[in-house]
Amino acid sequence: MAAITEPVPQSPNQINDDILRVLEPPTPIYVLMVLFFATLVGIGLVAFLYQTYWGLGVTGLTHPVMWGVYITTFVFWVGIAHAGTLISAILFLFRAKWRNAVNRGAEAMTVFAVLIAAMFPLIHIGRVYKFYFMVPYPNQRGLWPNFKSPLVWDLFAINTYMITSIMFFYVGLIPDLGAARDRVRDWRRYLYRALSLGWRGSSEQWRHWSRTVLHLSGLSTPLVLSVHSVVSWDFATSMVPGWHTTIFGPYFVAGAIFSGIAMVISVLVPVRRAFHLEAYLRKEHFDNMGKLILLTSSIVGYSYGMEYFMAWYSANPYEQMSFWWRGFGYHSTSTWIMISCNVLSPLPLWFKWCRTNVLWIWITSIFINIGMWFERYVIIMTGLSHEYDPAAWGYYVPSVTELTILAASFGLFLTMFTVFLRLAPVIAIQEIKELWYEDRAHGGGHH
Amino acid sequence: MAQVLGVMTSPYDLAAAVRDLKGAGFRELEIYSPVPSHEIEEALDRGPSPIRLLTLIGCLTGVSFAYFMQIWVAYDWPLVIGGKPFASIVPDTIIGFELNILLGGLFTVLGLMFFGMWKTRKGHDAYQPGFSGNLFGCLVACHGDQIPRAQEVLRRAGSSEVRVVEG
Amino acid sequence: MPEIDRREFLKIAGMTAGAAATVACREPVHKIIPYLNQPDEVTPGIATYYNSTCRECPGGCGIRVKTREGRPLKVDGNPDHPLSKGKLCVRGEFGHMRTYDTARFAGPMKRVVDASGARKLEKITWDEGMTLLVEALRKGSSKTVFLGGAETGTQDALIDQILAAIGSPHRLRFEPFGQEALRSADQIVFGTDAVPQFKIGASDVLIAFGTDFLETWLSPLANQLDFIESRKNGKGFAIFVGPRLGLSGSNADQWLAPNPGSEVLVALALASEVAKRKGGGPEALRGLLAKYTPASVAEKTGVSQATLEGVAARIAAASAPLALPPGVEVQGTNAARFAAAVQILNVVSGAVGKTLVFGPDHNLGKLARFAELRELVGKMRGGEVGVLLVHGSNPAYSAPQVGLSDALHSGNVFTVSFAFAPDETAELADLILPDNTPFESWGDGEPVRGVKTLQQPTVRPLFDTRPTADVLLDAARALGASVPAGSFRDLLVAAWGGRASFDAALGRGGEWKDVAATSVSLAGGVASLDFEPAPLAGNASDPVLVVYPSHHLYDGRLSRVQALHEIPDPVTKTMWGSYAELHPETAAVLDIEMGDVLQIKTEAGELKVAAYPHDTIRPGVIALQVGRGGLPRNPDAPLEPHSYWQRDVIGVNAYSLIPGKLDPQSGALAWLSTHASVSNTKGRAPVLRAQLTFDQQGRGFGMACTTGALAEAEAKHGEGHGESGAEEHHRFGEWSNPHRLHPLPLQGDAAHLPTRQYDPAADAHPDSPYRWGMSIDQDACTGCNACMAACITENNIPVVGPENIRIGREMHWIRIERYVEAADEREVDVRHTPMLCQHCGAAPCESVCPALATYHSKEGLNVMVENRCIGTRFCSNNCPYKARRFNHWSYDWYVPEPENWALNPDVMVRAKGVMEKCTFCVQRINGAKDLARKEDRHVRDGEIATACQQVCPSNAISFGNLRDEAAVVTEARNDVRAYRVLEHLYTRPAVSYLMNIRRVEEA
Repeated sequence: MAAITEPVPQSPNQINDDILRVLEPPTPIYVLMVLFFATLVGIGLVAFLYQTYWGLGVTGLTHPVMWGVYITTFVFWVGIAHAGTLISAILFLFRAKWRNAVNRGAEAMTVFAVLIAAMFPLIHIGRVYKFYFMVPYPNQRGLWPNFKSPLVWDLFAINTYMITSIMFFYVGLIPDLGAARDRVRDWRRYLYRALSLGWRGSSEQWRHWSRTVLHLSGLSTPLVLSVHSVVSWDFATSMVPGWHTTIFGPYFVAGAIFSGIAMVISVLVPVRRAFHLEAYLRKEHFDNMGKLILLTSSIVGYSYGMEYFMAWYSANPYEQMSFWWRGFGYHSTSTWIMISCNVLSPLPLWFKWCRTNVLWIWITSIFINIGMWFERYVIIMTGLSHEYDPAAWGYYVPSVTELTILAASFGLFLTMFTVFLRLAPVIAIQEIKELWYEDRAHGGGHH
Repeated sequence: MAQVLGVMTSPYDLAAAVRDLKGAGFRELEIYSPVPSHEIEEALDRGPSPIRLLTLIGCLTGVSFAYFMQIWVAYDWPLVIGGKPFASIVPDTIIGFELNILLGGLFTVLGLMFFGMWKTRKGHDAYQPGFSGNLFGCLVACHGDQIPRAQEVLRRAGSSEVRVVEG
Repeated sequence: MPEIDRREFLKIAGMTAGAAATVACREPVHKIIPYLNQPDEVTPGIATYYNSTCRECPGGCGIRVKTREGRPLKVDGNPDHPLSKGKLCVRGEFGHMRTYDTARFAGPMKRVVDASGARKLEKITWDEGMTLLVEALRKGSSKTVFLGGAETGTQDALIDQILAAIGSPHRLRFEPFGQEALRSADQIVFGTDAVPQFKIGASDVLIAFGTDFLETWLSPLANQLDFIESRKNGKGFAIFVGPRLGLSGSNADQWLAPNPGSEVLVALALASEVAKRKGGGPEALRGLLAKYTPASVAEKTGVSQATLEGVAARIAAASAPLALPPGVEVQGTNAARFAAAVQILNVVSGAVGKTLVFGPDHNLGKLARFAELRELVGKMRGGEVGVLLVHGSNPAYSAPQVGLSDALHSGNVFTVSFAFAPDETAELADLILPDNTPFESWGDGEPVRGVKTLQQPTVRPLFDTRPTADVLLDAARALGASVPAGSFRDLLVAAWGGRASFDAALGRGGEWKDVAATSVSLAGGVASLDFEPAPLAGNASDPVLVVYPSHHLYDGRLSRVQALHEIPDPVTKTMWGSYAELHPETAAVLDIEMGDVLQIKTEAGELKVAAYPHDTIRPGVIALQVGRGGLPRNPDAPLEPHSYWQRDVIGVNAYSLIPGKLDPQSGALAWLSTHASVSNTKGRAPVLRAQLTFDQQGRGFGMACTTGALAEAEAKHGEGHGESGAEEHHRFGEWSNPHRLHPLPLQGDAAHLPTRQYDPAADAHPDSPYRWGMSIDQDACTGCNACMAACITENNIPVVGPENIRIGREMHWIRIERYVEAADEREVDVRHTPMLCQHCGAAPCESVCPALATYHSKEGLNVMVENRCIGTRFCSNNCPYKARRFNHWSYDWYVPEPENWALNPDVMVRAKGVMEKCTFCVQRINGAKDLARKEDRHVRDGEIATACQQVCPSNAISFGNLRDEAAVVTEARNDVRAYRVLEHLYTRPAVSYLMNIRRVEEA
């Protein structure tokens, strides 16, 4: 990393100052941004109420394509939600130091993304006011959900993931909340006082805290791998040609990490720029994330290829037909968008220059986000459009309502993230400090 | 009983101080630090946190409850689903796994709340905001006659400031 | 939702109670009150059945109407009736829906001209109405004309009597499909104008010359019953000669498509060749036939000599051949001669007296010829008509060539319409005195000699309407004419020999006795006939215009039944509109693609309609279906959110393209008389298709075996190693050879993949005595859609309308998939696969439902619990048969009054957001089980009939208990032709299909 020369924090206090500066009273632009995102959410809410009142007729969903934009978006956000845990749990266990700078932002993203993801199955179902039929709650009618259904597995997986990642996020935040409490003087200090739960950084607290973080990482690591596998089983355990394949578990997990990292980059680059955090979100971080992208992109690309190969090699006419339509049929545009965004656009990252060029990698990450949304769209759409019964083939075109709600989900995500920027340190102060002290100790003094 | 507070700027000095103090027979030490530090951990040598056990209990509870719930429900109102056996153990594994993680996590965090936050809630008048910035504090509980000894050890260890806190 | 169900039930019961309790007022009182005096026959919650007669076409089938609390809910065939034999067609199923029509006239109305000069209708009382009518008749005196439809029986006679009494015996009975040509032909060939019995059931080789005998020709239902009878286990062979494969053509085994107009020569060539092979045939005809050898006509007709000789050979070899006279779609200016030629073929092939029997003739009454209608209209123009009484006929729509509207205007004729719902002719009327609907009125008829059927009301008239016969009686009395005393009903009872015999007949639904066959002989002068192809006007390079009757809407009289618009056409599988059918080759030549808006122009007129290219139509023709494009409106009818036809016209009126040319001999309209200039406007219109492809890609949905292969297999079966197992399926796979027409790089036929033998012990609870299952004989299935109609009326299936259909949201629980494997001179192999929920033993839908809204019942049913459903729709995605339907909207909210009175209270209406599907008519199963429980026994085989099975005019469907070894369905399942669709997915379906039988030599 010696090649890269960037400003380095001079003292632990400067770290506090730099990072907590983000919490200072907002600028008008910031307020406008939040308002804009919030408006999107509002519109989406109206669309949802409209749909709930009239029924799913307002969507483009039809026979035989009964799943559409909503499930696509659900899977998309679940995927996004994977980066945080990956970075904070897995890389924590691997002791990858560069994670410290990005993990807070990534974890926050995870929490918001999974919250949004959890909403979409509800938006998607026909009678949202009866969603609790899925939940195993004791009732005097003795009715229970069907534990053999992948959707119930989903319910458990997503909620487990949501709760766990919220806990992980919060636990990691406590020491920094303490720091914020000691520094901020406005109304928020009461908030921080309450949230930091009387954190004083006493050795006893650190002892339990470190152990908790360790265990949560240990638990989250298999979890993060399981969640998207379970999501992929929504498809893989069905008989739909193009869905019913064993590759889906790893394929989806890789895709999730792929899109997750991309989203981290898309979000953190503007933050880095806006709040002058170049000293903390360093080029080496983007370099490393670029490598992760290359890895996952290759896995995803391989999976695409393997799907087609198996369709051909299996000599299964239904699979073959399904993939023929996927490649050259009605929805082929989506397919080619997906391939060019997910497989082609990351290729330049093989060059270090592109990886360390923040603007370049940022644009790439945007492409990847688009591509990954289309990946799920393609899987769902082409699978369902041309199933076994040629007489029951059909097409699906998303309706305005669906697209509005899709846009609103992004609005909600950005609203939550921008608000979060002002409420909690976007970079884990104590971890940066840890590094700082270690550098000093090992006479590194400098990177 | 009085308390002596030594404030330093380096975790390594602090670790040294701790060792000295222990050597000098001081047992009741409390450390404040902006970052977790292995040196200090080792110096204090307090042994592993009970949270380990809690996590284990949580996980076991989760997985066993999950299997119990699913199998019991299957026979509480037996219905043929897609020609499968009433209780299908293989799919049950998935929810078993998820609840194992969920309860494990919950127990762990509850443990942190109890041991880390609730039990350590009292008697920390010595805390100062700097401890979340760049300062490290070492609080020594001692009888009146030992105060100078403690102050001396702390100074020698490189404290930028040493004062007596009434406890 | 049970509560909705109960509420629905109480509502209906309440309305009925109101209706029953209050005599004076005819509008039912909408109050929920119990019966004060419970009428006999009516027990709330128990259905009452009445035998009556179907009036949706002149066929006159006997029906049995199911009523609950005084509301007709469902129409089925009358099992005792010789014509319908307990079955019914797609049209008859909706007879009661015309009574529940939202746009019916609520009472008498008169036409007034308001200040702005616009003519509009105004409500009046019956007294005013009668006075107006009487005045008019007095003024019109001898210049009164009664224009009606085909009618037989008491009312027919009575009207004649009344007209005579008021001194103006002018009457015209007009039907668009009036069989003029056939009647004339019989006159020419046999010297009688009777319409004989064509005993299709007894025939072994059937050749139809554009005859739509399964759609509208004479008595379609009886025809279908016979047709299937004649094809039992691989027997029978049908040849279709015509420009387009309609429903009838699709069920033939060979298709000759001669140059349009030249079909007559084909008939003669066949006759001459058959005569040759049978030793010359009758002396009288030898000279004639010698002129038309296959060789001589081959070039004119475009059918090769070899083909003609082959067909002739088959006919000559047949023991009971039968040729059906031309249908309207090939009826040209040579119609009578053409029909005569066909009858000659019947003579030489020896059909006469065997399969063509005079005596028990079809009784079309004193049906007028098209020429007479034109004559009448001429008279009107000349002011020779004072008053026109229109009843049960709509010439303004179905005969635009005669120009009724301006004739009425220029001749200023006072027009009285007795229509109960708005139609084009009623739009022209000055006075509207609405009749009761057939379901509200008494009547009788004799559709076939010896078959006298009775018609009785099944519901109190919903609106302020009166039987036309009574109205005319009163009018006549007011005029001082001498007419018999009493109401029409009294006269009807009298005509049936008094109360006792009347009631007896009523219970049966009528009275039938065999009529002896009369022998006919060849009339003189036949030999001197000469035959020419029908000349076609217009530019010879343009496609020929073929206009054909509608299977669903008949001549357009059912166009107000929206469910009939939503059931896919049996051939094109299109819904909600008119489409111009043409062969892909022709389309390519004219640079036309699916959905392009074409402008079709003849000397008669022009119209714009979307193009629909498909394979089963002859190149060089463009075909349009009649029945649509009407504009039936009622200004007073509420515009319900989803009553589509009130919002806009559906399709185009194909009649308006037919030039008014007549066949000089028969006075029939020449339907096939012109080329049409077709131009592509480049506009686009949605083509609402239920099926995007007719190519099953060899996926083994509709499988088939050849007659030879079948024989072989049955032999093996007899020896006992023919159980339907994997190995046998494999053999069938080779036989079914689905890739012949569509060589695809796929090896997808289900038969190539391993299947397992059915285990009756599986798929239902061990203790359960039942495992319900179904078997469908595809060889019998003609694709007539009757099952869809029955399912819709039985199970409250909503009409979703064109907007939803366009994105593919049809709700039908059963659909007929049509797969075209071959359609040419060598062979027609069109397979119809009724697809419904297969009630799989290992149902993919069940395991994915998170809420357990669908699961497997103890009796092996795949149960759908709508009110537990939350609408994740995973079940639909995971159903390989795509048998599940989702409620995107709350369709039941949109059923307008009084249509919702037809909802079946035994089946709940589904609200938005839930999935639904075929239940095997679980309400009927439970009904039967209740009965069995009372009698402390198991349900007997055949005791339960699902709606689709009950109606099926092909008897293709059998339903029953698969755990009963003796059950019909179990036997069918073990039949050598039996297979399960997509069985290799191991879904273990409860529905098994019997393969099509291709009647070809190759084994």
